[in-house]
Parts: sequence; C-alpha cells; structure tokens
Amino acid sequence: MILFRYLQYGFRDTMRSLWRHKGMVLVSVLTVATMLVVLGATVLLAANSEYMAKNMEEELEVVVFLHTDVSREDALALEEKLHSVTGFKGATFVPKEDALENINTQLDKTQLSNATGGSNPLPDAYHIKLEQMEQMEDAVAYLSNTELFPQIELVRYGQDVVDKMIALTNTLEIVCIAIVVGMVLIALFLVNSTIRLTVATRGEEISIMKYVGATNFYIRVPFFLEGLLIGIVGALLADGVLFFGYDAVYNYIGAQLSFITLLHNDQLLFFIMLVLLAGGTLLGALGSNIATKKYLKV
Amino acid sequence: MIQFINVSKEFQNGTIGLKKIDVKIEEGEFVFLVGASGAGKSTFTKLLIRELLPTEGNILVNGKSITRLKQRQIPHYRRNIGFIFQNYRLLGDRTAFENVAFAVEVLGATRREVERKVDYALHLVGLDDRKTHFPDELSGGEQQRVAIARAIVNNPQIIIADEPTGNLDPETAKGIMDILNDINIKGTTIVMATHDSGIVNRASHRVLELAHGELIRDDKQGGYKIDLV
Repeated sequence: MILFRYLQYGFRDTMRSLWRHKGMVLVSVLTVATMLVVLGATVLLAANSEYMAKNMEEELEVVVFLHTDVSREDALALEEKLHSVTGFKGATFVPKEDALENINTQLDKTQLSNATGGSNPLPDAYHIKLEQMEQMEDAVAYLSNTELFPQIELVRYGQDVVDKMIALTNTLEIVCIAIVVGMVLIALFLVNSTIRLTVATRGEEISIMKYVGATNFYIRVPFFLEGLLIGIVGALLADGVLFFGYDAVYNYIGAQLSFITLLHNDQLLFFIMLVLLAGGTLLGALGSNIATKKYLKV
Repeated sequence: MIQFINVSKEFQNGTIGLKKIDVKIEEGEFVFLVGASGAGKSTFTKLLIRELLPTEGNILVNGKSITRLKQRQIPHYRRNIGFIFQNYRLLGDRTAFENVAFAVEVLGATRREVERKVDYALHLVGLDDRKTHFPDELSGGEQQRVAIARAIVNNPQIIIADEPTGNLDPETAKGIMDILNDINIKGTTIVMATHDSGIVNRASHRVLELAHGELIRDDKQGGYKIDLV
C-alpha cells in the first residue's frame, strides 16, 4: 500500500516537475532527440553506402573475348575452367550472334551489315562476375595468362570505376566511423552537461528530502520517472524525424537523382527506430540515476 | 533523551569540530547552543541528525546509539526529528502547502492524512492564508514559519534549529521564538544553535556554550554571557 502511494506521489511529482522545469525539460528532450537522430542517420548512411557499393559491385564484371577461330564447342567448354578464378561468382556466355543482335539494336542495322559485308566480325565472349571488387585485378591477371587460357584474346574490365569504387567505399567507411565516434563524444558531453545542470537545480531538493527522512527509493521515484519520460519522448521525436526525414530524402533522391538508388528497407528502419527508443529510454533512466546518486549520500 | 558521551569529531583536513563532549539533554528541554563561528555548533547539530559520524564517543537518542545506525535506518530516525535551517531551505517550485506536505508524504501517508496534518501545522504557525503561496511570494519570517511547520508536521520528539532567526529582524525573530516556545511547552525537546544574545537572554533556557569544539559552559538558565557578539 505504501509502495502504491510512493508511486502515486512520485508520478504526481514527476508531472509537476516536468511542467515547472519545462525549459530544462525541453533542452533535455532536444538533446536526447538530436543525438539519436544523428546516430540513426549515421547508421542509415552507412547502410546505404554499403548497399550502393554492393549494387555497383554486382554490376561490375570482367569481360573476356575469345579468339574468333575458337569453335563453339571449345568456347562452351571454357566455362568449366573459369570456375578456377579466385572469387568466381558466375559467368554468362554471350555468343557472337547475341553480341551482334545487341549491337544491331543500338546501331543502324543496315550500316553495320554493309560495313562487314554481311558477316559477323564479333567474337564469342564471357561476362564473369566476382564475389568482391577487390579480386578483380587478380582475376584479370589470371585470365590474361595465355598459357592457361589460349582461347582468350582480350580481357576487359572497368579499371577506373573499380579503383574509384574501392576508394569511395573505404572513404565512406572512415567518414561513418568518424561521425559515430564524434557523435558519441558530443552526446556524452551534452548528456553530461544536461545532467550537471539538473543536479545543480535538484541537489538542494534531494538534500532537503533527506533531512525530512525520505528514503532513497522515495527520492528516486520521481527523478527516475522524469528521466525515463524525457528519454522516451526524445527517442520518439528522433524516431519521427528519422522516419519522415528518410522518406523525404528517399523520394527526393528518387525524383531528382535517379542514378542513385537508396536502400528501401522498412525492417531495417524500424529496427533502428526500436534501438533508438531503447537507447533513449536507457539514457534517460541512467542519466537521472547519475544525477541523483551524488546527492543521496547526505 | 539525548546524550553525548565523550564525543569528538575531527575532520579529514585535521580541523577539530568537537572535543570530548559529555552532555545530557532531558526530554522536553529547550537548550540553546551558543558560541562563536567555528565553535562547533553546526558539528553538534549535524552529529545529532546523523549527517556526520563522531570520530570518537557515542551519541544516544532515546537510549539508542545513533552512531550505529545502518544507512537504511537513517531516514526512519530522521522522521523523529524536525530540522530548521537558518536559510529556511524551502523548495522554490512548491507552494507552502506542498513544502510541508512532502515531509508527510515520505511516510507513505494517505492524501487525506497529509491534508489534515499539513493544515494543522500551517495553522499552528499562523499561515492558514498562505498555503498556496510560493516561497518567493512570502516574507522571510513567513518562509521560516513554513519551515517550522515542515519540522513539526510529523510531531517529532526533537527539533533541531540551526540559527533559525539568523536572517530575520528582531520583531519577526521574536514571533518565531514564540512559536518554538509553544512547541516546547507541548513537550517537544528543542536544541537551538544561535548567535542572538537578545533571544537567549530573554528566554532563560538552558545554555550550552562551545568554544573551539569544547563545551565551556552548561548553565541551566544561563543567558548569553560570552564576549563575542
């Protein structure tokens, strides 16, 4: 019964305190929200850079052209041998007929036929996909070995694109880590100063409560509830900003920068939002705990 | 009721707070604690509310040693003591009623009980019409009366007052003393640290005088004789 009344008084005091210290409460809520928004946005940025890198990686391939005198039978038999390439993921055989057809759709059919005298000058080819971009150079060197692959005349791959992609993803990784580290430091600083401010205004209150015989539990209840509520509201605010903000960014980029495909994974977004909510709640509860602890020893 | 047995207090920086104090205060007594700044008055009151522990000796309240209280027993012990501070120490964001009420709420009392007790305590200090006022809407004397109401609301056996009239003009101080005397007449033991010679001389209660942590005088109806001021 006493516990129930403690909670009842605690809840009432929490509401009263939230209302009377609304300026401070607002600062705390915004601190928690800002921090969580940036953390969430960084995670989304990292997820997107990984997603984009993966997308581009999937499009990158090594193309090998065979000598025109290689028979169809030998050309098809080569596929088995391509499996020995490190990081081999798959290979598509493009017969010269298909290649010609392909070119015909892009160029004026009559012009090409005239220029070649009606014959097909194109070679058979393989489009090879690898597990990772980084394996591409080794694969090219391996395939260029004419002793191992006498049927292959030419090996082509987008070297520039690969180099740039590797550099870009590495840079993005470093940037994301830097943002996360920076944010955690800023967050610690902000939370610490907010708590210090709270402690400064509440220290007197706690010590008076101790003098009239309040137990630590009784003192903690309203502070704990207050911290919890600040954390939850801050996290919900951050969740809202992330949810609608990401949606807006997704739509904007989809419409304006259509060559960039952003990750559209509701499950991941909801997971991040859930983690932020848990983080905010924990932050609020821990923050209030730290703030009260110092003054509970009187 | 209160007994200091050979109590000494030395602080970590080597300052002597109290030196071998032996004193007994009976139930219902009104005792003034006088002495210059740094004489040990605050140390005495802080030991009594168990904010400090003595380096040596024992303190008995109602026959029980308060130096052996466990941390979790301290709140319960303090509920039997009313404490009045020189600077009132009211919560600025709570009304007079709320400031007194939370001393009752910590006991887990019902809302009805809280209202009854707080109304009565505020009535005793003459603040029936100031219940909804916040501290900054009250005069110094009124604020101290709220603090007294908070100290007496749970009907404690002992009231410890640390310079309760220190910030008040003589007229207001007299009003506060009248209230404390009334409380004392009803049987509450009062230990009051003060600098105010006028109050001590007028009241003719028992006087304990401290100097450099030592008890140098214990007069049953002493008056404020020392040459400080």
